[in-house]
Amino acid sequence: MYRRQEGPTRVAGAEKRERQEFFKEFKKELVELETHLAKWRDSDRKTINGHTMKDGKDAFERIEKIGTYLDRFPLLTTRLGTLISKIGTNKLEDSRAASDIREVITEILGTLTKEREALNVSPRSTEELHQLLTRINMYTNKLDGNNFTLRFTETPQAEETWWNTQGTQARAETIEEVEERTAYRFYLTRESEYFLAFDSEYARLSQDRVVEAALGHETLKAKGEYISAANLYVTITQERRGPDEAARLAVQIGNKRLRFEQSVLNQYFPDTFARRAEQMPEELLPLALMLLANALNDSQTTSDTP
Amino acid sequence: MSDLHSLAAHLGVPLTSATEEEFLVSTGPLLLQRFCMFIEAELPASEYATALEYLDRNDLEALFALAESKIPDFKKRLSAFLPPFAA
Repeated sequence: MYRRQEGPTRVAGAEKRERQEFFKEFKKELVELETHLAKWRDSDRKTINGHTMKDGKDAFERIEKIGTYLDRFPLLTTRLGTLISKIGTNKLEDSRAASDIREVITEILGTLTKEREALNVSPRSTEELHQLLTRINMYTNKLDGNNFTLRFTETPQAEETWWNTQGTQARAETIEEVEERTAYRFYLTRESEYFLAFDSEYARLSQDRVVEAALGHETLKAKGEYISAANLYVTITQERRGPDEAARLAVQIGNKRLRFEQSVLNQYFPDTFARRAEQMPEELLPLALMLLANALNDSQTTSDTP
Repeated sequence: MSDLHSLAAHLGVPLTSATEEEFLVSTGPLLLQRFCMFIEAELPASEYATALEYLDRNDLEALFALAESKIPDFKKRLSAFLPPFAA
């Protein structure tokens, strides 16, 4: 029986068009990746309010999306899969992650260069891609190792002052500064965890874990810096899960904060008064909160008055 | 705005009617303890005995009145002692 077969030229033509389309999309993704990485680089002084992590997360989401285009490059897919897994479970700001990105990007570049003919990409396009990936490399360099020495300070103004006076000068760090920086990096790690928690399968984490993550590192708890992160999470929860969930999260975070702070305060006070408060009947709570509310509301009014 | 919502607003908690009870039952006792720590920290030692007596009698209104009369800048200091949860 005669059976019609497609000629090899026809198949190759379809495949070529498909590959061209792929390359076009892939490049578009890389351009977006570049934008996100640039934002990440430029905003690395704003981590106090979480902007850096947002931009970093956007960048990694982009990388993940790029991963979906890499089915045609099995070796890279495996490599990228490992990277994405590390990103998911590890540290966005980790210098290792940054160097891993660089390695993968180098591999992408090498593969695309090799595939240039098959992809029917013009030398000019390849050159553009080279430049693009070089810039991406620069951005990841910026995130790497010692360049990523963000400093924790108590206020944005203090942070700005530090950057203006010290941040641009090379100098030896004191032990305290190294510890502070380490604590801050730890904090960022936690922050990245709970960003992921709200955005992916990590959403299935128990709320306790999210709250724990939101509270961050002991050192930062003592300085109160976790508060802004907690606020951020309440806001995100409100957007994504509605006001009831946001209120519940805020209450949980607030309770944890109160317990933590009170455990610290207990070291300084013999807790005679607090112990008495613990023994008060529950029925008194509404009255106590009303008196507190009045006092605090008045204090706001009072403090507004010159 | 109710007192509960007003207090929650000060603390940065976006309270809803569905979460009022949780706030009252779980946060309320902690806030009361914090207030008592504030009293202990700020009240002149000479007034401790009176304050403890009020606490033992569960007379919160008297306790607040004592604190207000004996602690300079009472309301301002209280606010600083109990800053918003999420500032």
